Amino acid sequence: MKRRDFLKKAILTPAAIAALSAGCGKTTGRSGKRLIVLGVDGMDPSLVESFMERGLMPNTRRLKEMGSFNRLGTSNPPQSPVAWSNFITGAPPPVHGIFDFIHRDPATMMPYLSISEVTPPDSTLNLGKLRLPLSGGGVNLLRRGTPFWDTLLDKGIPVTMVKLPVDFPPPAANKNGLFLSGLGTPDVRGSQGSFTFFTDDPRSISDNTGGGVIIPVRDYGDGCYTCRVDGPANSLIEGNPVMSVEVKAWVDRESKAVRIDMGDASVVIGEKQWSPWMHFSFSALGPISTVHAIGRFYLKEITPKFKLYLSPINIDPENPALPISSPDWYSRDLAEDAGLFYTQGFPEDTKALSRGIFDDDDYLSQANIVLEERMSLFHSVLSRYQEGLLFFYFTSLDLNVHMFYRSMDPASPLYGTTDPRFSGVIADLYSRIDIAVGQAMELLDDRTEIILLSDHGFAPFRRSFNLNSYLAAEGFADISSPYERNNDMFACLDWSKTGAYGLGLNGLYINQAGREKNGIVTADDKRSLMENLKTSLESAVDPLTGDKPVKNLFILEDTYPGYQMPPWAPDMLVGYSRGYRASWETTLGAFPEGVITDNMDPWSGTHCISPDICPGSLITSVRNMPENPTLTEMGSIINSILTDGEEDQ
Amino acid sequence: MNTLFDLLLKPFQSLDPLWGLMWISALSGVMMIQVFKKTSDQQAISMLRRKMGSRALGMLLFLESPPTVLKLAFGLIMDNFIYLWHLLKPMLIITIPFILIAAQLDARYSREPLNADYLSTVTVYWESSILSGEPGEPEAGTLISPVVTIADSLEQSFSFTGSNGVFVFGAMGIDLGSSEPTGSIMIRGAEKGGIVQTLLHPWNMEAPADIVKIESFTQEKNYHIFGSRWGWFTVFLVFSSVWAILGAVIFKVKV
Repeated sequence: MKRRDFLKKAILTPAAIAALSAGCGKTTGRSGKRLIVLGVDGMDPSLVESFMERGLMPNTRRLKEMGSFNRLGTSNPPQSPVAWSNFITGAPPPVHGIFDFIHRDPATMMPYLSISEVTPPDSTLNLGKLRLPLSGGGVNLLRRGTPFWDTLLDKGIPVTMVKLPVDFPPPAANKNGLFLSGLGTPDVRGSQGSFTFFTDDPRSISDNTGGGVIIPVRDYGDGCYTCRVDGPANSLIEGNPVMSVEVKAWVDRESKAVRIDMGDASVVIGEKQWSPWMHFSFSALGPISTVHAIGRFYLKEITPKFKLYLSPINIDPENPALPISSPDWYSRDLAEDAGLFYTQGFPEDTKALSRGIFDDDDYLSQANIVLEERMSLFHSVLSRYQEGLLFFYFTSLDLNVHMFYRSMDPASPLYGTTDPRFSGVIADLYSRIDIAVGQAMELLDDRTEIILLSDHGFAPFRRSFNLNSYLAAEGFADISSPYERNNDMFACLDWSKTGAYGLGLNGLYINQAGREKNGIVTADDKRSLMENLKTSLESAVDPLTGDKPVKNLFILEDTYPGYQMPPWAPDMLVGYSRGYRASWETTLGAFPEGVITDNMDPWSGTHCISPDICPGSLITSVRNMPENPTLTEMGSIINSILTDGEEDQ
Repeated sequence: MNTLFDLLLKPFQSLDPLWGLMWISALSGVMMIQVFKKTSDQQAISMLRRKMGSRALGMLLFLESPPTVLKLAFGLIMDNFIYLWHLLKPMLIITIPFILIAAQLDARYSREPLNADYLSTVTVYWESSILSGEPGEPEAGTLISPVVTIADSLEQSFSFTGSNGVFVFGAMGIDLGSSEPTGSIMIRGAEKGGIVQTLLHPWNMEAPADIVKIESFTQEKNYHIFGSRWGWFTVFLVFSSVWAILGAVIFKVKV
């Protein structure tokens, strides 16, 4: 909002007088400079070049002509949580502690998400079945290190970070800082996004790889399906039962529409239509404690079978059950101005597409909602931006390119079965990001600069590499129970004969004595085993293509010399070649049949490969950028711009 | 009532709705304190307050004598009950205008004007048989979803967006919202009923023939005050209370 508009509104709205007085106390930045940083996850420099050439990204091209365009050195491994942590802390993984999406606890061998954790209370008051927390408990960010913006805040320079990845929960409130958490923010169930699919044809969904739940429902002749929507676990009651609400879906098969009743609210949607955000209230302790959340319904089909999709139940930004912004009113403020929005870190429901719940059209309609919401949020943030640092994050490019790389890759096993209608999806996405760049460029003046950057680029994911199956085939791991190859993680392993195992997208671990639960490799033997593995994996050949699936096997202590590695760090990082990636089974430590197989999942693009293959992009109005910049340096470059070079001194 | 409130709010038609809401709240506060003055036994309340004050003072003076403190405390509790009894009659009388004013404010200030950005839902409850055939297009606003018919309960529902504050769908007897200026009644539905229904639910129009009632779910309105969002009822309660207290001081009303 422009100052004049604000004053006008202040005159008309008595309440705004209070807001005006609060605004008067705001500290202004020292330099008065402005820097808009657009963080576009997965924006590939080669594609940017190509689309600029084709005239699809005119604003980005203009930005490049004003300043510079570079490839931006990414992290190792080039995974978003790792890369954005490098950006935030200006340091490599051994400092910030994020090595992969998935880490494992060596004492239990259980995997966990690397970004944040929920801890139960230290002590509770037990009254019958009631468990009232007395102390401790909460959500903790697992990223360590000092964020670069702390320097700016200390100098009184305003900092706004919207949808910042690896920043959940957000930092403590600062009078100069506004933060809205992005990637890593869970849904209310605590997962990274778990859809619910109500259907009277549950057997049509055979894929059971997670990402959501299939709930069988039935029409008993009155045209009504009673659907139970599960929310979070109720930690106030013994045994943590799941809280749920009942939704009634009344179908009209003639008009192909459904009326969804939930509490006092109702909405009608037709086939292939989305409901607006609906408010869910999960009662933990009657009216005393309620978890507020939001979700959207999508009527996929009504005849011959009933198929109703419900998005992951998101934290309500207007009434957040978990901290998603700092100060806590900021998410509410944004929602009021820009409308409700996905608060979960991974808003595009890629799993629904991978599992066949969505077809390509369904998925794109959902992805479009996400992008429109994000654009609306961007517009809202941009219109109030005054000075200091504004960072805004776009996730759409990354997740949609993951899903539609097949549409522009003739070598993809799914290229032939992908409808040619979708061949322009990726180009269209880049064009829409370019519109945001254009909106930001309207603010350019002699005190304003723009940086457009991405954390990594992209490559095709044509062939899946079953790392653990390879290790077993080559004698680095021993499968004692072949019948359980695809069941529980590591269930089939004989740990007493296993030297190494893979987990996560790039991680390779030594089964080290004294660290792992059933470790056998001594410290003396570890180095030679790692070198053997490096030789073996780097020389492995795909019998189908003749290519080497692994380009580099990075031994962590050589890649990051001089750093003390935390116990959850992998010992090696697998740098896959272009076209290859760890299979989905590998990420959870499974041992499927076959070592290298065609990737038949719509998730057909990847960046979890050797970092030299997929650098990010850096396009900026700033002249005199350093040569060969890396993501790790960007924080100090940003600080330097906003403090007139004081950072460099 | 509708005409009275239209007149009272006429000067605020072109201003932010919060002004009108605050004006009525202030007026209600002052009016209610006057009603309280007229309907309560001011002399008895005054005496009782003095008595309660003296008992409280007595407790402070005789702290070293627990039996005296206990006796005074018991007396204070009893005085409180008597005080509540004195309040009962005026409060019961005030309740009637309070309900009527609240109904009027609910009808005028509780909902956002119907607009193209917000999806609302309406349900029509038919009396004996459901309107058959294609209902056609609305005269104002847009039909977003198909019409869902639930034959067993004689209900029809659909989602819509308004246009310039209204949604008009003559084929189903629906005329929702308001195109009038700020502070006018926004129609949210229809029902059958007499004068009582009209007074208590001014947001409902008279249901057309063959229709039992029409209900709509439209966007609730919040007001930004002191950095937080307030519903219309909170604004009304707070501002009418503030003005009632001010009125009590100005008009020397013993409360």
